[in-house]
Amino acid sequence: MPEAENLACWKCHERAGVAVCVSCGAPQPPPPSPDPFAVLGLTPRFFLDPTLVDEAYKRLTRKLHPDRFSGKAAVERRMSLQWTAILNDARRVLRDPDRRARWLATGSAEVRERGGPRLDTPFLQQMFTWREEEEEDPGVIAPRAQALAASIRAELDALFRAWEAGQGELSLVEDRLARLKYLDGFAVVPPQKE
Amino acid sequence: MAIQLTERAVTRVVELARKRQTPEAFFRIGIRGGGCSGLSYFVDFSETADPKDKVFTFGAPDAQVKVLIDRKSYLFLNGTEVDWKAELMKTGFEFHNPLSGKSCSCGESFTLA
Amino acid sequence: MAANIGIDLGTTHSLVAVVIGGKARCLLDETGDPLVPSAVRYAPDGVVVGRDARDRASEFTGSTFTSVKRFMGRAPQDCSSDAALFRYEMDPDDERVVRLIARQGELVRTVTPVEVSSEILKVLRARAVEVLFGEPGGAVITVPAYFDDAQRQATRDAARLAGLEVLRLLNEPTAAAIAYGLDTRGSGRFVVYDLGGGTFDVSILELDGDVFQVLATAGDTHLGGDDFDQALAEFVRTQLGLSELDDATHRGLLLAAEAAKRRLSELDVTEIRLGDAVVSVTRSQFEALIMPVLQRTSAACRQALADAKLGRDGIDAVVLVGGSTRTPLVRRHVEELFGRAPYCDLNPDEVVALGAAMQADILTGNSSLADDLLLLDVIPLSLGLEVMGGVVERFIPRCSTIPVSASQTFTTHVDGQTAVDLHVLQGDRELAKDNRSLGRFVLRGLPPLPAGVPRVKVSFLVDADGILQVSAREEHTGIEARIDVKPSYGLTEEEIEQMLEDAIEHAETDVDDRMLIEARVEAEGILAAVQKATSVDSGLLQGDEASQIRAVIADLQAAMDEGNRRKIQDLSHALDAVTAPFAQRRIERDLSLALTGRDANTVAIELGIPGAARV
Repeated sequence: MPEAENLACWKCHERAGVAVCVSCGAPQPPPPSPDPFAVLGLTPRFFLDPTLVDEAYKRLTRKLHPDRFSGKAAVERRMSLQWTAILNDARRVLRDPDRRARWLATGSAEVRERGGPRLDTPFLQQMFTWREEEEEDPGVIAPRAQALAASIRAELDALFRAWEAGQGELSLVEDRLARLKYLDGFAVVPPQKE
Repeated sequence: MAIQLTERAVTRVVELARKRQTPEAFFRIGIRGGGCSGLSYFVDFSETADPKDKVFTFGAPDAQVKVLIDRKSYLFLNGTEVDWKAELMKTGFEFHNPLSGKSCSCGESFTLA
Repeated sequence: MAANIGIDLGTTHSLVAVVIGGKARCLLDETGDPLVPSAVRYAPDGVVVGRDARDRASEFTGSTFTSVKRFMGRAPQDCSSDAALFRYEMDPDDERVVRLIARQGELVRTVTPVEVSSEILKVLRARAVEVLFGEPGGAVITVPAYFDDAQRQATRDAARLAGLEVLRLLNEPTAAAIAYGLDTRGSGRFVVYDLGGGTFDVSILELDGDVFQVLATAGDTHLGGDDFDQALAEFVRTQLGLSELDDATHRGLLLAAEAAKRRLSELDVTEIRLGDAVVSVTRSQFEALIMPVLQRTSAACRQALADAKLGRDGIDAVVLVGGSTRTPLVRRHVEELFGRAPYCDLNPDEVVALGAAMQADILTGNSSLADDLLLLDVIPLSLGLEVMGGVVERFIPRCSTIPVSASQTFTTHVDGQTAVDLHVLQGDRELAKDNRSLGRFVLRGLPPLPAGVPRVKVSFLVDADGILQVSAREEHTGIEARIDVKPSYGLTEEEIEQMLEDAIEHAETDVDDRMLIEARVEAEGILAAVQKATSVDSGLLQGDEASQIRAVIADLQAAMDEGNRRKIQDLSHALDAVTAPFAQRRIERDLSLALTGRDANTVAIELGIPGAARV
C-alpha cells in the first residue's frame, strides 16, 4: 500500500505512515480488500519463512490491537478492531501452505464459489471408487491417498519455484489444490463418537 | 498537632488499608479546585510521599495512619479536624475547618468567605 | 484517573481485585475474606448477597439462588435439569428467557439469571468504591473460555445492570495465565486446567517475550465442583435409603456435601449429618464417585492438544485454577494427563481475579506492570450458518485468534425479495439442531431485483470479547442492509433498557447518555459559580478578562444546547482556566482576611504570588 504513506493522518494531520500514524499513534482506515502480503509488509512468495510472518504480525499487532485503544474514541477502536481482524487473517493465510498457494494463484485465500476449477472425470471417478472402498474398510485408502497427495504437493512446489524464478505461471494451482481437498478426506482417522 | 484525626477516622483508615491489602500506604488529604466553583476536600491512599509533603502520624503502633498533606493544601488545612461518620444519609470523612467556619465532606464545595 | 478493576464472577464465589502500587490485590471484606459467595436471597425488605445468603440457603430454600452462572445465557429447555438439581422454580411459559421464581412467605418475585448476577456485581462494585474513594473507571470481567456468544452477552448485561462499564470480557484460563506469566516471567507453553464450581476450561497458551497467545481452548460449560457435591449427596441419600427429599433437606444436603468434599482434601475420612442420621465417607469412596466427572475433562484436554497441534512433550508447565482443583484426585488426574506435576503456587481461588486486575491495569494505557504485554485470545467454538438440509457450514473455525472476520455472499430465491434470513450457530456438530443457536439475522432493505441477482456480502466480526457483530452490504447497489438480530435466547436490548429504567440507582440507559448528563451538570455548576463570583467581585476583574469570560460562557451555553459532550467538557475546562487568575485573587483576598495576626505579604509569598517580596 505505498500510496498510503503519503496521506495525512485523519486525526493529527501529520504525515501518517501505513496502518498507524507515526506521529500520534491513531490507526488509519484499513484497506477494503486486504492483501495479506502487503498488510504484513512481505514480498509475495510461496517459499516463506514462518518466523518472518510471525515477527511482522507481532510487530503490527502490538500497535493496532484493540487493547491498545481501550480508552480512545469509538472511531479509533473500530479501526483497530478491523485492522487486527485483517492481521489475524493475513497470518492465517500466510502460515497455511494451501491458503497461501491459493492466494498467490487466484487472489483469494478461500475456494471460489463459482468459476472454480472443474476436476477431470477420471480423477473424480477414482475418488468415488476410493470412497466406496473406504466405507467398507476404513483406513485402507489412506496410504494411497497420502502418496498421491505427496506427488501433487511436489508438483505445486515445482510450479512455484519456476514462478518465483520468473518463469511459468500458476494457472494449474487451483486445480491441484482442489484435488488435495478431496484427498485430505481420506487421510484422517475416522472421527471418534462423542 | 497542626491537624487532628479523630479516633473514628483513624480506625476507618486502618480498616480501609486492610481491605485493600496495603497496610503500608499513606493516607493523603488535601484541597482541590481553586476556580470559581470553589475548593473541595479530597482523601486518597498514596503509595509514595513527595519530599515536600507534610507528614503526621496517628494511632497506636500496630494500627498506625501516616497522613500526607501537600504544602499548598496545608495552608488551608492547618487547624482542621478530620472525622469519620456513618449516618443514614451520609457516610464519609468530614472536615471541620476553622478557616471556612463550617464542616464539609469530601467533594463538597466551600469557599473561605 | 479512576482505577480499573478486575472481577471474577464465579459459579461458587466471586472476587474483585485492583492493581495498587504495581501489584494486583484482592479486596477484602470486614473479616478479611476476599471471596463473596455467589449466593443471592430475595427477602421482603431487600436483597441479601454473599455468606449470609449461602449459609441460610436451606432455611430460605425457595428464595435463595446459588450457582446461577449455570443458567446465564442458556435456553430454558436446556436448564430444566439444573433447575431440578437446585429445586429452582422456573416460569414454564417462557421459551426464550430463563425466569426464576423466588418465593418466601408472602414474597413472590420473578428474576432472570442476569439480574441475580448483577446483584453480586453490585456488591463487588461497592467494595471497590469503598477503598477507591470513588467509582472505578471500568471493569475487566472474566468468563469461562468456553462460554458462547449468548453467555457472554448475558455477562455484559449483568454488568450494565450493576452500573459497571465493561472494558473487556476476559477468558478465565487466560486471566490465570496472566497472573502466572507475570509472576514467573518465563517463556514457553502453559496448559491451564480450570475446574470451577460449574464450568471446566482447558487452555493452552504460549508466552513469548511480551506476547501471550492462546493456541487452543476446549471445555465444558456444564461441568464442575457442583457435580462432585451432587455425586456425594446422591451417595448419602442412597446410603440412608431415602427416596425423595423435600426442598429444604435437599439443599441442606448439597451444602453439607460441599463442606465434606473440602474436608476430604485434608482428611481420609469424614462424616455427613442429615438430621439424626450420620454417614461416613472415606476419601477413596469419594474419589470413586467423582472419577466419571474427571474423565469427562480428559476428552477436552486431548482436543485442546490436537487443536494446538502439540503433544504432551510440547508443554512446559501445567497450572491449576479453581477451588475444585484442591481435591487430591484432581491433581493426580492432571499429572497423569499431561505427564508432569501441576504448578500451584498461586491461590487457585484468587488467581483469576488477580489476572483480570492486571489486564484491567494494562488497559488504562499507563500500566506499571509488564509494559507491553499483549494478549491474543481465541474463539472457543466454530461459527457457522445453517444451510439447506439442516446442515451447518462453518465459516470461522474454532480456536481462531480473535478479533476475526469472515464474509459470505448470499443471493435471493424469489423475484423482488427484499429480505434474507440467516441462522447463525456456534459449535462443531454437523447438524444445525445439535449446535447452539446464536441468533437469527434478518437482512432487510435489499433492493428489489430478480431472483439470483443480488449479491449480499455479509461480514461477521468476532470482537476481542468473543462476541459476534454482523454487517451486510449489497454489492451491486452498495446499499447497507439493515440487520435485525433476534437473539435465540436471552434478553433483548429493550428488556435490558427497561430493567435499567426500573432500577432505582440506574435511571440512565446508556453510558454515553450518563456521561452527557454528568458533563451538563458540571458545566451548569461552573456557570452558576462564575456568574455569581463575577457579579459579587466585578472589581477584581482586570484588563479584558470580563469580555473573555463572557465569550467562553456564550460558547459553553451553545455547546450545552447542542448536547455535544466533548465540547461541553472542553469549554468547561476553558472557563475554569480563563477565570483562574480572577479566582486566585479572590482566594488570596479571603485568606488574608481570614488569617488574623498574619502578614498579608507573608501569605502572598507562601502562595507563590508573583511580585511579593521577602521583607
